[in-house]
Amino acid sequence: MASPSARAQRRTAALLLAPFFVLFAAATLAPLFYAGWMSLFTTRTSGLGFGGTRQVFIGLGNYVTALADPAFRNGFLTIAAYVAVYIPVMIGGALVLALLLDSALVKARSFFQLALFLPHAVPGLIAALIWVYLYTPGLSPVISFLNSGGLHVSFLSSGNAVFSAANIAVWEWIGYNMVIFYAALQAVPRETLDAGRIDGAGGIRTALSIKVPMIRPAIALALLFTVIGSIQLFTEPMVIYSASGAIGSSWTPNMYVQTAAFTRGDFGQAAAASLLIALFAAALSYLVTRFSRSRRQP
Amino acid sequence: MSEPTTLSAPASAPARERNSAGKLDRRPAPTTRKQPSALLSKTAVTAILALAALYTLLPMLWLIMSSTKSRQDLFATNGFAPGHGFALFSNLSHLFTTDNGIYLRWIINTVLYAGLGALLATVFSVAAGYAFDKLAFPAKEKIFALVLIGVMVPATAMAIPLYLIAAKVGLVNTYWGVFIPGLVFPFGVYLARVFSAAYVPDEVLEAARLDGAGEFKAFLRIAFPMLGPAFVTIFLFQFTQIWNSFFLPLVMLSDQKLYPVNLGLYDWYSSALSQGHPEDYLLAVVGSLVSVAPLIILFLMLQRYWKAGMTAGAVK
Amino acid sequence: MFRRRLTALACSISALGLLVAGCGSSSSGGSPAAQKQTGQVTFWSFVKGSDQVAAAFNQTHPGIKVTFQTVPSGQEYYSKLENAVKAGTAPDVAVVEFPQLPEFATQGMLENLDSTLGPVVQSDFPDSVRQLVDLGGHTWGVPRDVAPLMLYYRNDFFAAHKIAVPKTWDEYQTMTQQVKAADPMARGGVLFTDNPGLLTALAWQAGAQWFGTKGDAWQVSLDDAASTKVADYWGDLAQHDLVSSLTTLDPFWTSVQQNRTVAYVCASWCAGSQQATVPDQTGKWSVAPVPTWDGKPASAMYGGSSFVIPKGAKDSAAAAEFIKWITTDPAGMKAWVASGTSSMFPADPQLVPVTKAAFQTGYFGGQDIYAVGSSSYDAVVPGWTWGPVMGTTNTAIVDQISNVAGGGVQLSAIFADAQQATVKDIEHRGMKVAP
Repeated sequence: MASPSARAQRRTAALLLAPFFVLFAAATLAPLFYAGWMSLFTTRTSGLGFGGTRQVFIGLGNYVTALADPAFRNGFLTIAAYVAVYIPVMIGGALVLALLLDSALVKARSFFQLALFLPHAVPGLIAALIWVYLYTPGLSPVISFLNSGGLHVSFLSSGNAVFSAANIAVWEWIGYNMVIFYAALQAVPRETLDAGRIDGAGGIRTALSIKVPMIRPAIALALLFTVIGSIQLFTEPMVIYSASGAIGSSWTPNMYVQTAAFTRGDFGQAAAASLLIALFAAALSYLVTRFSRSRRQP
Repeated sequence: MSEPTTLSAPASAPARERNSAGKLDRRPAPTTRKQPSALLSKTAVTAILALAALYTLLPMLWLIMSSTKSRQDLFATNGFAPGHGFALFSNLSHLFTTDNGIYLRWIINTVLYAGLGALLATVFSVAAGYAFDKLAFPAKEKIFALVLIGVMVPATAMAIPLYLIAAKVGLVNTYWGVFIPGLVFPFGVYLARVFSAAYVPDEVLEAARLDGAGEFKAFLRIAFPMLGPAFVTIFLFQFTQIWNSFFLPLVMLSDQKLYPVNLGLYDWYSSALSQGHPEDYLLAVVGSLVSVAPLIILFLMLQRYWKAGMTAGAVK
Repeated sequence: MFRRRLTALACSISALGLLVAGCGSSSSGGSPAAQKQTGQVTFWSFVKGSDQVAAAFNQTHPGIKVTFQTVPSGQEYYSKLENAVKAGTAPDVAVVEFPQLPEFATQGMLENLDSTLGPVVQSDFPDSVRQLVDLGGHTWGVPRDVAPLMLYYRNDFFAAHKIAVPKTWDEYQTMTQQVKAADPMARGGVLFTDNPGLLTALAWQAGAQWFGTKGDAWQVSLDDAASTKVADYWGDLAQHDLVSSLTTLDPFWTSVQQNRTVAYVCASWCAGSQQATVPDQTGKWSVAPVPTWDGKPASAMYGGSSFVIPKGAKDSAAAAEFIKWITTDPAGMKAWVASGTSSMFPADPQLVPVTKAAFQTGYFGGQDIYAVGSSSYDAVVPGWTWGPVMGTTNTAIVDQISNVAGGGVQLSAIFADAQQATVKDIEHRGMKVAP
């Protein structure tokens, strides 16, 4: 029924997809279904608990518990506040830096790229040591410096928790995204820019009216990547968790998952909560996609 | 840290716009369009970038300074100032000789896990992404949605089920237990689909088909070279992801000889100060500094390839 | 990166690398338990010196081959161990600190040692530590080291400013005021913000009993009078900035190194950490008995570890033989402290001479810190039991403790919250809580 060409396409598609899907099934789908299965159970013991444990089927009980837990729900509010601070700063900053690097006004491009990217290469352990050092009053040279200038900042107070966590994330990711944007800018065709210049557009106008629209796909991609990353926010707040009273063990939904899995050993609960996070991420990225698509319609 | 998604390949549409807006031929070098504006003088631009670099490098300075300090100086002196002595070389020799040079082994392990793992993961992702973009087959979007689910689930949450499954097939505490999961990069498939839409014009493939080239050959000979930038980007993403992964190796491995460097350093650090072994703390710090080196080398290599790759990917 | 928290908890491990030297004799020699002469044992530990202990055992026990695997310390380790038990890949012997032991036992992760090592535990250890491993009528682990509290102080600072070493908590408060008056940068104590272990020990010392059992139900009382008293006392010190609020590891040691912390309460194992981490303050530190509420000796433990046989162990008999050797045999204890840097305090009091002989007291000006430790060990308030969900209990406390200094929350209110979280989690797991 299919034409030879359609058959050839199918055969080739199967060939090209096979390696990925075999591994995907083994290392992603299987654990995912396993997690889904485990999310339907809970571990119970009785009395003092020394008589052993048993697995009890509780249906959607773990999902209900998570959704009914204010700690879990509030995590999403944290994410909302975090996203409002982090995304404009990080994506905006990365874009500006990429445009500056691309602006022909800079020497030592490679150096700046590397310098900005470097935090991403620093082991997480060290990032934690450094930031706790920088945030702890009495130890931090930065705080002493600000104090001597009459500025009193408390990085670890509850009012600043979102900013302090976002700062660590910006530090880690701004260069990474800058590199992506810069690479995309390199791909902007020269005629387009030349045409713009003939029109008399200045540097800033060229950047905003020609370059930015040209790399919109890259920006949309980075945005999506960042939104999903933010929903899974975990590493950065954990860095300052023990030093900051504002950040509790369930400050973000993913921290809630980690606490359930690694502190309480309640894997059913952890699995249910992470599937809820995935669902939320899926819904949100669908919206982000819709949004960025409709924006480019006019 | 995360990954992206959508239920249809959204970015691919705008990417195509780029094609129509002007074929992807690269401008030679940005220096050709020097046009100083009143606002953006060279000095101002350089100053802004320098400030940004200061922000990203300041914590690095702590790492570098700390690596040159003796144990005494480590806690006694300002983290951004040099210590009283210069102990970098003795720290380094300590690092490479401790436990019969296990650090070097961790670095090699990590290069295998992340380097080889990301390389294969990228090949598989690009192949799959291309198939999703260019080839017709049944239930395509449904299958693609399945891939995207993989992007949405927090990776750390998968570590435990993955471990339990690995235990059933006997992969716990083996290279494979960490290596195989690194071969799967659903976000890479998504990216590759987007890139394929942007960099591989349909007309070129049509032409190849008319010339009688087989589908697979068309992919290998025509599309794959065009996907150079995609390849490099996906590789970098997955490489850093594996390089930074922590939970999976933590639960999967018990034999120190199989550790990636990340976990080994954590091992040193976690019991150093609580058990009165500050020299291990110093090892973790110096070891971290050294472990940044491979990533810098990789970055510099990719930087070069990036430009080359992008030009090669240009559509004539 | 939760690494930080985890590591912090790890600090509660007294498991320090110990040093032992001489030897004492142990009652384990004539144990009736059948001695197992051959086998294979996999051994997980984050305790420094574990590799040497395994090697020493292998040398003296040719029939049994112990394979040691080092693991990171802290909550990550417990999670790893738990998953290994679930997956059937558990080691034969593993270290578990006292606070975590009930949680492992009630989650069905441990082999009951009644018939193997139970008699050793009965015969060799005093009640105050036996009650930490004998739970619900069964023996779940064998104690290796204990962590009696002591007061560490800078003798040069105290002498220069004529500050008296406090014997009671009232005097301790006065001392913190004097320290701050003498040097506005210096403090006479620390409220650790990442690890509730010390605070818990101080409540224990004051007579609190956070956990107990009544019939087949757990009793939970984090908000009893003694705990509230301790919470109000330390909360007050922190809010008046008389003690600093720091995390246990680098920030704490930096403060010691920079002369900002001139006195602190810690366990016996801190002596080894102090001398190794801040070596240039040699001769400036002394130890004293921990202050008490009424001036009479009273103490508690901040840390301490035991060895267990996880469920699914392949060779329990050989594992038991190994555990017995490393916890009660003088040669085993000596192997722990072979590195010569640990001030670990053996749980088996007969082995104290072994560790004492190995520890160089030059740093402490020749002071007999083991004598201070021994009297502290003798004075440990009896009746303490750890709870079955300590991960949850500790997390509930750590979540908020950093807010205490700023006055954002009362420490006693944190205990009350932790009480609720604890009860909720115990019930969630199907166990009973006495009203």
